[in-house]
Parts: sequence; structure tokens; C-alpha cells
Amino acid sequence: MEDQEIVQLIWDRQEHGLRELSTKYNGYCYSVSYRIVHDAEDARECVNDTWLKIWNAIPPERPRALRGFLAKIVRNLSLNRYRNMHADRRGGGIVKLALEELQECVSDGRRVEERIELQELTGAIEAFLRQQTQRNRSIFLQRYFYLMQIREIAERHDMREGTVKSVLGRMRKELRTWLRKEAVYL
Amino acid sequence: MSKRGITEAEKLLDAIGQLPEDMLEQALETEENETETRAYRRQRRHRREIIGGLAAAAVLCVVVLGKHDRDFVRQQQSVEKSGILQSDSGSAADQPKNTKDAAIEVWALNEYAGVKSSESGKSKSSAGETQKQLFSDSADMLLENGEDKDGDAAGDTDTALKGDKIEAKKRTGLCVTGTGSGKKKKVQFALQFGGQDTQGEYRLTASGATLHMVEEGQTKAKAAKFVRKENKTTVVICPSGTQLRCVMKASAKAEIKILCTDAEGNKVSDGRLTIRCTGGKYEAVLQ
Repeated sequence: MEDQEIVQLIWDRQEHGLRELSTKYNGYCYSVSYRIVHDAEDARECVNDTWLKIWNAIPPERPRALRGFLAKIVRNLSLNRYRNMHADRRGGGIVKLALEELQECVSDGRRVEERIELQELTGAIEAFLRQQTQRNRSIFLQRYFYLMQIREIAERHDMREGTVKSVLGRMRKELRTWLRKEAVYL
Repeated sequence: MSKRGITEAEKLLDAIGQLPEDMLEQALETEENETETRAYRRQRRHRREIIGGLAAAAVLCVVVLGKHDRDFVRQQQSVEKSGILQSDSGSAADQPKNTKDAAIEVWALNEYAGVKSSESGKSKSSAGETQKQLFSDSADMLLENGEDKDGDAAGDTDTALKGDKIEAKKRTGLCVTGTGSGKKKKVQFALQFGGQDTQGEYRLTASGATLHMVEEGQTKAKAAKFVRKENKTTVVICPSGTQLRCVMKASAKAEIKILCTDAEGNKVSDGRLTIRCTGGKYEAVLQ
């Protein structure tokens, strides 16, 4: 089934839209999540949370690129889970968990300034990536969005690992200069 | 990394997470396209290699077949030529084969223009040089071989020839005369290659000795071509029956490679004539 048909089914609040979505993108979402959390159970939970998020997000949103939309949701969920796991190890404990649970009540848990700052940063990174070649952009996003291993990226692009590393290193330097130029201070 | 650094990096990670969906999707599509392109390129390279290999094999086949064809045509032509020759000379079975073309014939001459072996003392060469019979017993040695010098010693083909036919793998004494003295001492002797009435050519490559024309009364020698090579070898191409003067150092060893061809220029036989001094006597051995 085409992506737009699936979106339409969910938009129309038909549950089998979610089943179609799950059939088509379960493996994809699982692989994105597993790269971050490195735990099968956690990855599965993240994927299930993703279906719920999608169900709640559509409508009002109507994604044009469903795969990218899904990747964003599952990645953010997985990153949150990863942070929680590591916070526990650092001794965050029950208080930390309670705070995180309460964060859900206050939008995404960020302050207004933080959100504006994040938007500016995203805009600057987007502008930076737009001026890169398609290959470099792809390598950068595969590394820092999909959090793929260098080896995997090298295999996918039929390149040597050293080349991928040098491309990424060069792009990081350029991004640093770019962000300074755009007056985005971190 | 500092805690602040980690926090800022997390911010970047979050910001990357907020990038537009189309860009994220494109990142994977690009990679898929690249994979397809790579696969296509690989296929194309593979195809090119196969075609190249086939072309090379075809060229090789053409070359091999062409060579084979040329050899076959040459063989056929030589067969036809020999057939024509046979038909020209009548039936091969009816007429005896000219055996004189079949083997190398070399005579060691007892005398040649200007030098008489019988003059054991001094004599004048055509070039005006004083020559000396180095070995007074050379004539006797020839006699010891059981040959009659004055008779038909040169073979039944050349009645004018006075000398010994050099037999294969047998030592034959040479009638030598000497020139110079000390380190510059040289010896010379005369040889005849092939019978006078035999057709064909002799190609001689002498090393350790030089070959020269025997000057008077040798019309055949005038037809010989003398080539002196850089490695001090002399190449002489002469008609059968040519008498040549051979000059070599008194103490050295000489070798003459002989290639005998028939009237058509086809190789009949080849051999090697070695001249060396043994116990004060100069001997030639044909191999």
C-alpha cells in the first residue's frame, strides 16, 4: 500500500491503517530504534510507542514523507529511552523517573527559549546540509540522525571507512564554522 | 568531554532530529540510488571485461589461424615447387639423385695461385710477400694419408684441383705457409668449398681466421661476397667450387661454419670446420 493511502486511512481514523503502517514499517522503525537503544525489548517498545504517537499526531499533521516522519518520531523516542536508561545507571532513581513522567504534562518538557534556540539550531543545520553534496548530506544524516556505525555507512556507500571518517570530520569542522557564522552559539 | 560539551552535543543531536522529513527520507533514497548505480556500474564493468576478454580471444584466434594458414600455404607452395622441379627434371625414380648437393665438400689445397707446395723453401706470392713453408713435412703428411697429390686427389669432379678432400670427422693435414714473425706470425692455407661442377652456394662464417680471394685463375671466387663483421668474424657467400685463402694466427684456433645450399637456395646441409695446430701440424676436422 502506498504511503499516502496509509496516511489517509489513519487520517480517517481507521485502525487497519495502523496495521498497514506496522506491516510496512515495523522492520524499518525497529532498526532505527535498535541502533540507539541496543536492546531488542526497548526497541520493540519504542516502535509500539511510535504507532501510538502517529495515531495521535495524524491529524492534525499530514506528513508528506511518511518514512522521514516515522524516523523522526522513533528516533526521538529511542533517544529519550536511551537517556532514561543512562540516567538510571547514574543514580537518577525514582525521582528522576517521576520528573520525566511529569514532563509529559508540560508539552515536550522544554522551555520557550530552549524551543526557539532548538528551532534556530535546526534551521542553521538544515541550511548547512542543503549546501552540501547529496552524498555528504546522506553520510552526515546516516551518522547523526540514523546513528549508523561508520562501517555500515561505508558499506552502504561502497567507500572505505577512512574516507567516511574524513568526510564526517571535514563536515563537522565546516558545521562549526557555519554555526559561528550564523551566530548560533552552543 | 565536559558535561557542558555533552549537553551542547545533545542539543545538536536534538536539532538534527528536528530536520525536515523529506531531507531525512532523501538521505536513505540517495543511498539506495547509489547502491543501484554501483550495481549498474559493476555490471557494466563486468560486461566490459567479458567483452574485452572475448575480443582478445578472437584476436588471438585470428592471429593463430592466420599463421597456420600462412604456414600451410608456404608448405603447399614448396610442395608444388618441388613437384614442378621433379617434373622438369624427369621422373625422380628414373634418374639418380645428384648426391653432390647432399653433403658439404671441402678440399685442402696443396697449391694455389702463387704458392706451390712442392717449393718447400721460399716462394713469391702473388702479392709479392715472401712466404715460407712452415712445415716441410706437410707434403709428406699428405702423402701419409694415402692420397696421391698429383692424381685425382681433389675428387672426381675437379681434375685441376690438387689437394685432399676433408672427410667428415677425420683429421686432415693442411698445407700451410707462414708470414711474419714473433707475435705477428700468421699462417695461411687454401681451401676449396664444393666441387667445380656442382651447383649451389656455400655460406661460410669464419671466426679466428679471415677468408680471402685466391687471386689468379679463380673466376668463381670473384663471385663471392665478403662481409667482415664487427665481432671479427668473416662471412663469405660463394658459389660451389670457390677456392679461398684462409689466414689465421699461428698459435690460434679457427673455426669455419659452413652452410651449403642448393641451386634454389634451399639448405642442403651444414657443418663446422675446425682448424687447430696439434704437435706443430695444422689439421682440419669437419663435423
